[in-house]
This record gives sequence, C-alpha cells and structure tokens, in this order.
Amino acid sequence: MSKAVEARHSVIGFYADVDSLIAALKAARAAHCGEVHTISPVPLPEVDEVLGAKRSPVRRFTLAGGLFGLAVGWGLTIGSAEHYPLIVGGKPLISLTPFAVIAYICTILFGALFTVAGMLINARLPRIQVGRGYDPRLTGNRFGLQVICSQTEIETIKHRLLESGADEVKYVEV
Amino acid sequence: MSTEAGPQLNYKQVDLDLVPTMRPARKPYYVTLACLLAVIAWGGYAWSWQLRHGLGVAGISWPVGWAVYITLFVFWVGIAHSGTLISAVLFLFRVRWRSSIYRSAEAVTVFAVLTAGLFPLIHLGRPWVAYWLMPYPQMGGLFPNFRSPLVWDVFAVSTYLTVSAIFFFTGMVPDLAIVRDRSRGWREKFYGFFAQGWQGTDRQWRHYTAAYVFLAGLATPLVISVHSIVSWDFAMSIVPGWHTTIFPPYFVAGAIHSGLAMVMTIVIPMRRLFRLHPYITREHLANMAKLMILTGMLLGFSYATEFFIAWYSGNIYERSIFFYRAFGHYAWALWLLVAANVGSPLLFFIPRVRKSVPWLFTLSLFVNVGMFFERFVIIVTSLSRDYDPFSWHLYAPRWPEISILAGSFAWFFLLFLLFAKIFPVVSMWEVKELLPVPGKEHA
Repeated sequence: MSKAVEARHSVIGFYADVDSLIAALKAARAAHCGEVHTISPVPLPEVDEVLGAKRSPVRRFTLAGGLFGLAVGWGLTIGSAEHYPLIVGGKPLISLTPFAVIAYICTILFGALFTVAGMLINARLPRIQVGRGYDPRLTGNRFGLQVICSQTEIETIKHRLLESGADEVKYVEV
Repeated sequence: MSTEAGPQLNYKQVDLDLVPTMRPARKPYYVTLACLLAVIAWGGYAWSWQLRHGLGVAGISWPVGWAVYITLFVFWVGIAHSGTLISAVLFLFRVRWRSSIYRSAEAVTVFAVLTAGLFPLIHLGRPWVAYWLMPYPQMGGLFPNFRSPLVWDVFAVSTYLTVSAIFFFTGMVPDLAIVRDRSRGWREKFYGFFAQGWQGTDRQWRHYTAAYVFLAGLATPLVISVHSIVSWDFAMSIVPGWHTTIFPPYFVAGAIHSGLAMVMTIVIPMRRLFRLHPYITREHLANMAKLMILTGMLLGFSYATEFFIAWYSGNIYERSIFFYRAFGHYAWALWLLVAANVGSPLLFFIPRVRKSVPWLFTLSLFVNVGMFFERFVIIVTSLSRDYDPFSWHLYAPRWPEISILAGSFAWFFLLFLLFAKIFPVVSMWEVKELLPVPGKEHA
C-alpha cells in the first residue's frame, strides 16, 4: 500500500445555512462516508440528533466532582477537629451543622473543577493549534461539514458536498 | 434577539461590530488608565502608611474594630452577585435578554470579588500572615476552627472567585476563537492561546454546552449561599443589630440590588463608548431596572422587618440600637440609604424613567452609594453602641481609609477597563444564537 493511499484527508464543505448543512449531513451519513463532523459558529442541537450522539458524559464528571468535594469537606472538617481536639463554646468536637457549610462549599468547588476537566477531556481541549483545513469563516457566518476520507474518495465526497448545497469545498491532508 | 437587537443584525455584522471593541485604544482610554493608576498608587501609599504605623492611623479603634474596610469587603462581595444572577440564574431560566449583558456582569463579578479579597488582607494589619486563615497542616499549632463563620467566609469567597472565574472564562472561549480568527500577528497568537484550539466542532459544542449548563447550575446556589455566609459573619455574633435570622435573605437581596446597580453604572458608559446600542438596548437596561424594583422592595421589606422585630422582640438592646440607627449620630446615613436603595428604584415604576438612560445611570449611582452606607450603618452603628455604655465610641474614617476606599474603586474600574479592551464585552456566540441563521434572515 503506497503512502499516498494511506494518507487521510479532510474535505470540508461550506454552507450558508443550517438547513443545507443538516441535509448534507444526513446525505453523508446515508452514504456511509465515514468520519463526519460539523463545524459551526453556534451550537446546533439538531446535528447531535442526526449523528445520534449520546448525551455528554460531562454530567458524570460533575457528579463525581460533587461527591468528591462533599467527602473532602467532611474529611477536612472532621479530620481537623479530631487532629486538634479543642472544645469551643461547649459545642461538640464534631459539630455537623457548621461543618456542613464547608462540605457544601467544597461540593460546589470540586463539582465545578471536575466539570471543566470533563469538558476539556471530552472535547479534546486544549489543543495547541486548530486542525488542518480549518477555516476562520467557520467561527463567523459559515457552517462546515467535514468528512475524513482517503485520497481516492476525495473527488466523490467533494462532488456529493457540492451536490448537497455546499457553495465551496476545500480539502487538505491531515 | 431579533426583536431586542434589531432585525438588521446578522452573524457577519455581529463580528464586524464587536471584534473592533478590542482594537488598540485611543488617547482618552490611556488617560483614564493613568488617572486610575494614580488613585491606586495613592491608595497603596495609604496602605503602606498603615502598615508602617499600625492600624491606629485608621479610625479603627475599640469598640469599632470593623469599619470601612469590612464595609467595603461586604460591599464588593455584594456587587459580585449580580453577575452570577445574570449569567447563571437567568441562563437556567432561558431569559433571552441576558445574552448581551452577561459577559460584562460576569466581569463585574470576578473583579468585584478580586477587590473584596483585598479588604480582609488590608484589615488584618499583618497581611504577611494572611495564609494563617487557610486550614493547612502546619507545626505552629494554629487551630483550624471550622465552627467559625470567618473560616466559612474564606471558603465561600475563594470558592465564589474560583467558580465565577471558571464560568467567566469558559463562556468566553468560543468568542476568543472568533477574535483569533479575525486577528493577525501577536494578537492571533494571544487569542489563539486562550481559545485553546477551539474550532466549534459538533463534539466541542456538545460537551461545552453540557458543561456550561452544569457550571450555571453550580454557580446558582452560590448566589444564595455566599452572601448568606457573609451575613453570618455578623449574625452568628451576639452584637445587637447583627444577631438576627433575617440577615441571609436580607444580604442576598441587597447584594443583587447593588450588583445590578453597578452593572448598570458600568454598562451604560461602555455601551456608549463601544457603540453597543444594537446589542445593549434600552429594553435590556429597562429589564435590569425592573429587577431592581423587585430587589429594592425586598430590601425595603427587610429594613422594615428589622425595625419591627427590634420593637416586637422586647429586647432592650435591639430596641436601643435600632432607635440609635434611626435617630442617633449616624441617622443621616440610615435615611440616605433608605432613600437611595428603596426610594429611588421606585421611580423605575415610571416607564419613562426606566427607559431613560440618564435616569438609569443617575439612579444606579444613588443605589451604589446607598448600598455602601447600608453596610456602613450595619457595621458601625452596632459596634459603636454595644451593650456597655462605658465603651460607646463614635467612629469616623480617616485619610488612609478614605484613600484605600478610593483606591479600591480605581482598582475595580481599572480591571474592568483592561478587560473591556482586551476581551469581548458582549458574548458574540450567544448573540448569534439568538439571530436567524445566515442565509435565512428573511425567512
């Protein structure tokens, strides 16, 4: 197998509106074009429906972070009280009510930190550079449909994207 | 958005209007920066004077141990609250008009907490041992007292800063990618670094929007809890005028009230300076004014309840302190704050007033002043008239406190001014989300 055949290419079709993009995405999925992505200046929930994407697992990170924070909060307060047993104001050494305040705050803190970590891991961020073939217009007013394919498929995909309403098609080796 | 921002807006126009707000500034901007830096330097000098000569150079002395510094701490933490309300709470309720103003409100939150955080340090007298506040394992035998509301406060405020900063920055990432894509040279590298390689792929948006909802959900309880915990700094003590269960909701309402006023104070000149009229319309400002009617009335109810409970409880100390607040040495401050915080927002019931930018700006300034005096009255009157008449003492701020007060405002406005020139002040991707998709504007 030659190197040229092994190389993968990114073909991006540019669309002026969401409906054309969605139609093209459906066509690409129906034609089993392989790896297909959309690039858009705004989130498009209808893309997830077409792609049949599962719900983001970020929520599990949030839950894990919240539970971890809750444990840290209780652990920190109870552990400190046991490590330094000083009765103040006749209150119990392990005073659950005031300690709950710290546990609550730690739940939120770690919940937020884990949420961001979950987003970065799942969205594969941060990246040093944007992917090859990316076009600045796609954060502006254009919608992109990206198909990852082999060199032999480029012309077919390009033709399909133009047929589906793309007003421009670019391709680049990735 | 099409109705609020005008039907002429489209995706391209949003970029054309908002990216230039980050272009190199002109002379008046630098002159303003220089003035603010001069005031900060003066405040810094006053602080250094206080460090060299001790807290005694400020007006702080027994029994008024908490004075302008803690007043300012509470004031700035309160200012922070509107940002979270507008960005997180209104987001969860899908309030569309928030999109244009929430970025500025979030910036107000982060910078106000950064300003508030200075005051416990300034008030400490020995700021070089500030790390003793944190419950870290150490050999010196410091007692980590988690039963103290002051420790809760350290946790609450630092968590608030962390979560607000995360929410603020996360919300900005797609916009930073827009700016990166429309910049060249070092600016492209600068914004590219902060945009973290954002492209707007379906995968990125899916996880991003999920995270955004959860961050909003996590930030929302902080709106309630942070100022409740700040209020417990007072309410957990037995000082007359402080030891009351109404403090948490009362402080939260006050915090949102002051925060909305500060957002308005900042957004109105910014709107004019950056020509953001299509994005931040009179309707946006009028909606904030309507919120201020609500928070102002909540505050009025709280003030009345405080006085009622003082009378109805039959507690002579409570009655005495509230009588003193209304008719004593600081009565002018009480009536000023009632007029500013409760009276002036009532003018927003008049549609002409809440749609008039000069009126909105003027009344927001009144509320800012009123909210400062609210905290001043709570702190100073209660301390200056404690249980024991022998220790009664009047307090008046001296030049270091007044200089540090001015410095804190300059510091806050400096941070906002830098932000407004470096980062997008209006969320471009969320404004776009509300517009008709390109190619279908007339559909």
